[in-house]
Amino acid sequence: MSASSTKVSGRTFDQQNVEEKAKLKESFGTIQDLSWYDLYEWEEGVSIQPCVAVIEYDGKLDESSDVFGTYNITLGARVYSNEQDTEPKSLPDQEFQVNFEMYETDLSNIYEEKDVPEEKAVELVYLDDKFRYKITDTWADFTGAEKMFWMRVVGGYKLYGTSGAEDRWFFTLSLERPTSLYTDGEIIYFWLKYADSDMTDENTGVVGCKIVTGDTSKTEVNQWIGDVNMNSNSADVVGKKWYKQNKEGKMNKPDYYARHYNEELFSQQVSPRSTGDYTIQRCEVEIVLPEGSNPDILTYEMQTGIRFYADQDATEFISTPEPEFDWYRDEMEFSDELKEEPVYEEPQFKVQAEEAFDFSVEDVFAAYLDDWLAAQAAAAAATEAETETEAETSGGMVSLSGRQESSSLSASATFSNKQTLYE
Amino acid sequence: MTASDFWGWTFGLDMPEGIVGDNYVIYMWATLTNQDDAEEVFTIACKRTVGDDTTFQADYYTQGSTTNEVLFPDNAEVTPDKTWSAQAVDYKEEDDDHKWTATSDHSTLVGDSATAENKIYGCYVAMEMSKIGRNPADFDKTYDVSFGARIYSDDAATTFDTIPTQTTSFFFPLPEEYYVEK
Repeated sequence: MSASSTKVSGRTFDQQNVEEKAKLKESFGTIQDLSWYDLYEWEEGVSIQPCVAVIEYDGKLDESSDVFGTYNITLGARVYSNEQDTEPKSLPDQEFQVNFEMYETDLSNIYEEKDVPEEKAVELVYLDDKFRYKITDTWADFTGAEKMFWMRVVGGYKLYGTSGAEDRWFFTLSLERPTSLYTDGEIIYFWLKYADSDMTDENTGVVGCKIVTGDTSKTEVNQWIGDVNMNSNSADVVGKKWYKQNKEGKMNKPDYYARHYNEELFSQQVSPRSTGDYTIQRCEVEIVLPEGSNPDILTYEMQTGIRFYADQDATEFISTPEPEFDWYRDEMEFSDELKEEPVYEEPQFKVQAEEAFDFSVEDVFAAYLDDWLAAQAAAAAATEAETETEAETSGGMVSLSGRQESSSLSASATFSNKQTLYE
Repeated sequence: MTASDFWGWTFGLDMPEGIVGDNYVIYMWATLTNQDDAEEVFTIACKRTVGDDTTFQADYYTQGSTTNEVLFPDNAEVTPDKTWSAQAVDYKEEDDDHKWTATSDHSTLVGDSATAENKIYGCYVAMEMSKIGRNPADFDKTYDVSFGARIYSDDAATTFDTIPTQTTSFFFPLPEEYYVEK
């Protein structure tokens, strides 16, 4: 198939090596999903035109399938100016070897540290921000009884204390909205932007997560490097399909991944909320932190949002509000101390404020005061009489004035707040 | 390291004991506004009844610069025709959506009143501040505070007696490290 071959040279694209060309029904198929064929920009000035061939097998593959083995591959490409062109521009052939093995069917073996004992693994939540909005501000025609919906961003470390296990950082993006608003097939696109104060490419970017409602297998993670405008009013977002938004800076293969095979994490969950019929949809993205890759201390400016597309081809979308917040991250590594149960003993108090504000009993409790004063007087009189009786009996002297005068009343409202520190 | 610190609030109403009945509801609140960010406004509130010194409820409201007065006694979110639990509901976070809990475990308790015939009705709330992941940006802020209280005759009452609203401010620093004597 090389350009120099006599079976290729001087021929049109459909006449090349017809001698050895398989019949169409014996050939590889192609993926029919058009989204695979979009030209996309790899880096500035370099675009990629994908083409995907598919080998179809009857039934499931197993390790004995003869397709598995080591292949020597020659990869080439020619560009013909039209169907009659016999002098195409040829890219140099590339040769490499591929060892095609039985794939891993249990994805948890790929994405999880499964050999780490429980006492050597810890998950630390590092940020947890929740945002509440009126439903009708996003879904104007919603008529259900529920009033609010929530967005939440949780992030943290997964740290391991055994040799060879790689730590992770995760973000869990979630949406809690009325169950009636979910529609099977709808695309829910979560995105989270992060930027350090210097806007370095290393620490600035966006991670996006596409969920197809009702089908966790179609979960997809996207990632961008650099300062990307993901706002719903961005020119690189408006009027574009979900997978065509913001092509600049988009990584071909994201570092973040989603463990979408985890049904508990990615399937819709009934909310325990008692104020309506709510359902939670989450997407958790995770990144492996190679040893030594953790930044020392960083403060990130963050922004998040969720877009809703009716289907794969939709260019119109509904967007939630897109709140901004910050995230502080410092380096952490596993230690046995992180597994210890917290002990709350011998607190140390650091007072921030203590205030007392006097107010008038006569003004605030005017409606109750006469009754209370009368009750106080009656009680005092009863006490006085009892005491006099006792005094007469014992022959002692008595001098009591039990009546409370309203002019002597006082009241105050107080608050104090303090930080209570534990070791 | 795994033991969190807490931000504990003690509300108190020092008033003549028995002037209102045991079922009366005392609702004490404090609205905080970050002096450097007028949009960072929230209210911490604590509810108790007169006759129960051990049961409290923590409420938390998220507000903004245009809604900073929704807990004030003359605000339409509070009066008329609203019970204590129905006030400012659009701003009130549900229990699972905020980090405040009703507890006296992390506060000093109110003592006896210095005024004869008075009692201090205390109410306690606290927020956990994890040491792990603590964001310095959440601290070193000065808050303006509006502080007030209301007394309802019971849970169903829609009118209340108002303890006048007061204002003050305080600085909220990054927590110090626990001091260990060496």
